[in-house]
Amino acid sequence: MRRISCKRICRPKVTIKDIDAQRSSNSGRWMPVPDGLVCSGCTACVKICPTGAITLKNDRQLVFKYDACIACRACVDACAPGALVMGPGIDGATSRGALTHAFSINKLSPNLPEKPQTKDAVIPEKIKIFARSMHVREVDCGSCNACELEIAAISNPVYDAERFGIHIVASPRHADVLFVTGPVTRQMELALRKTDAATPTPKLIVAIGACACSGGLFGNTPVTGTGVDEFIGVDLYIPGCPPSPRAILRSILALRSGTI
Amino acid sequence: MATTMHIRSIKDIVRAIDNKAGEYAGKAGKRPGEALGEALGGALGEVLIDIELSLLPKLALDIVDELHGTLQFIFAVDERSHNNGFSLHHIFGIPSKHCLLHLKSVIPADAPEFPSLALQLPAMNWHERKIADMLGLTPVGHPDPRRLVLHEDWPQGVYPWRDDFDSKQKVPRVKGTYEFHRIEGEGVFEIAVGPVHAGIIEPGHFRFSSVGEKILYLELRLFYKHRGIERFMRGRSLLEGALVAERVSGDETVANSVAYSQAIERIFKVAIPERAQRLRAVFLELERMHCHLADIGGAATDIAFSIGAAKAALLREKVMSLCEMVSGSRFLRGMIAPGGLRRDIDNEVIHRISSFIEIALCDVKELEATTFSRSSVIDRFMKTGVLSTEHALNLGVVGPVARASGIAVDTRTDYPYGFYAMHPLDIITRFDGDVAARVRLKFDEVRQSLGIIEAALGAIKSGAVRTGDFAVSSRGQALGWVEAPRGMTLCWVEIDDEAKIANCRLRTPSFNNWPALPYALHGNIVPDFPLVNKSFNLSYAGNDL
Ligand code: SF4
Ligand code: SF4
Repeated sequence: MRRISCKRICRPKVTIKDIDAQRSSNSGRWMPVPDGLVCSGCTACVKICPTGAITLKNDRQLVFKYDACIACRACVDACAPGALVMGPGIDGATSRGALTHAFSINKLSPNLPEKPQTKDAVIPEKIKIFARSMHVREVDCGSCNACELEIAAISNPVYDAERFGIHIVASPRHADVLFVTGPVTRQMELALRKTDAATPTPKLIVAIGACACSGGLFGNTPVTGTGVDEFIGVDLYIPGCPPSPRAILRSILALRSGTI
Repeated sequence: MATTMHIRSIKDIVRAIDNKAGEYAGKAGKRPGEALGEALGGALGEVLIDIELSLLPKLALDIVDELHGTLQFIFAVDERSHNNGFSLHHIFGIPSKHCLLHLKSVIPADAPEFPSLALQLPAMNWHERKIADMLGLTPVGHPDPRRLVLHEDWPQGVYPWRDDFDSKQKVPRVKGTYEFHRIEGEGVFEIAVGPVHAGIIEPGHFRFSSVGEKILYLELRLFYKHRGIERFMRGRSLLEGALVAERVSGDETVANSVAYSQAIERIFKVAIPERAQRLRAVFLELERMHCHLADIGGAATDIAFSIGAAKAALLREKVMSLCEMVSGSRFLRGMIAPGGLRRDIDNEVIHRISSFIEIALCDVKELEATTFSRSSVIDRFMKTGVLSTEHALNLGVVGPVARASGIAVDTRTDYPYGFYAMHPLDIITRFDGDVAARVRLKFDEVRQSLGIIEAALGAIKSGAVRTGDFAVSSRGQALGWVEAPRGMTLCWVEIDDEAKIANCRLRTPSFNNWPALPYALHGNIVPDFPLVNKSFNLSYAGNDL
């Protein structure tokens, strides 16, 4: 029997590129983006968006708040000139603001604006200590369970989050990171606060899915909140409804390597 | 739409159903299910009958005893603005007549109560308590009048389904306690679990009373995830309604949106094109497959049978990738809308689904052989978490859980809709009612699903996938039903004059099946709870709404 070198089994430096190389049929981060055609400014998309994720600013800028986008395609279907398409969406960001993108309506650029690439990213100390190992506790605060299923899928043999040192644990006492989903329902608020309090610092809070990032389709009612950051501080927002396992992994790895 | 004939006894009800069946049979000269199945995407289906509130208890018991109906759903609506009262709806399934009997009665505004039937028909227990919470209507004579949906910190006298509920204001929290049932005796102790669980599981609280390892009693405390979906459906456009329905419960995305869309289509009397019917069936079955595979893998995980869990996860991932390839969403979101599908799929894609069937059949066979050839698996699965046929019947259990306890119920056969009206199915049942029966049944159903996909795609023709004009409307209401992976889903929708949703009530199979879980656990040991729970495969999101 041939000996397999340990290097091939243990790859301490797996990068986001490796995940990208794995992708099967498409990127799994479908969200509406302008595709370069000229938008007529009719605001059909603004009117139809069920979560108010699109706004028209000063009659000349179309502003997409991807933290609220549930990837429902309603805007794409409603756009008569066909200026919107479902494209690869955007990965996680450390603030909701960074998930907002503005496009001039007269020349919708085909791609999302490039982020300035900082070569030697300064990774905050708090994140650096989790660079190789993250013990994760998941708290569902009113999701539809699709976000749960995708988080569960990151540990399956295809995505295998354990090879990045990402490990799901059974108690907040063991956790470095909380994955939170759902808009935070009234009846889960206390449990979320208690879980947060029981997790030792330093810790990272990751809001996963449109519901957790902004309330999504279900937020802001008498029985639901407007996302996790209404209640506890959030370090990483991963948009999508639900974000695919690939998007979740990419976002976390990007956070750890300081590229977002 | 409601039968105007005056209803006094069960005989009148039978006559009303038969009249309607005759009407449909006459139209096409086929078996009643089929005729309407083609016309409206549903079987004889819903038969709406107005009755007097005082007749309800007698009629309900007669329907169960004489027509062998099962109570599926009770809901109520605030109609004080135009009807001077609340309307109370009881929905019975009568499989022998392929009919969902919808009894509607009126509760006067000045006497907000109705006779409880929970003692005679335990299946009504949660339904009646939910109505009490949400609308403030008292089920008189209910054996367990505690709160169900709204937790103890919700103030008295605030009812979210009433028209005068202020949906802009946050509701203040009050002090209150929830009384758990106490089991007392020497050596009895309580184990409290949740709401946040160890693992990636939705939230809910379980209170076990046990002696040593043995479970004497399990009390469920759910509804932590209550998002007010039914209330906040109100005023939404028909498309938004479909988007919300998709997001009620992630792994029932297609089922819930099809149930919702069928309700709308029945209100507008729209028959969707055949291609759309076939593709809907394909999506429903793909969803059933990934849901069942997640379940099979979950059961393997819970007994630390890693190889089975990994193989199931891989196969499930293949299905999910296929779904992504088909629709751009791993949960097939954004495909279903009233009138058919939101967009067509290419023949190339259809071809890839067809070629997937063979691969999947091999994989399923191998997975089943891997799982059931191990003594450690058999040892943990057999005779664990037995739900007796009697309990399953009394509690109105639906879906694979019922079928594994020997009850032949399947919405696709009992009340055929869409493609299933053209393609009759056999109902697969098993009789042991234990975890092994439920897991084996799921293997069988995955194979059956592959067969259905093959049949649906076999004779598919190109054509439109969407019809209907849903812009102009007059008030109307109808029921939609679907066999979701977990069992029968019912969605009742009422629309207003502007083609917006006036009221929506949803009952996912989990709401019927949750109360049966404690009965399957009596006498089992605490460490088997996760396994039994997984084999029931209950959605918290779909239950809590
Ligand atoms: S939620 Fe997203 S996909 Fe849906 S309409 Fe709004 S921006 Fe478009
Ligand atoms: S973001 Fe979307 S997928 Fe995630 S919980 Fe909310 S509705 Fe479900």
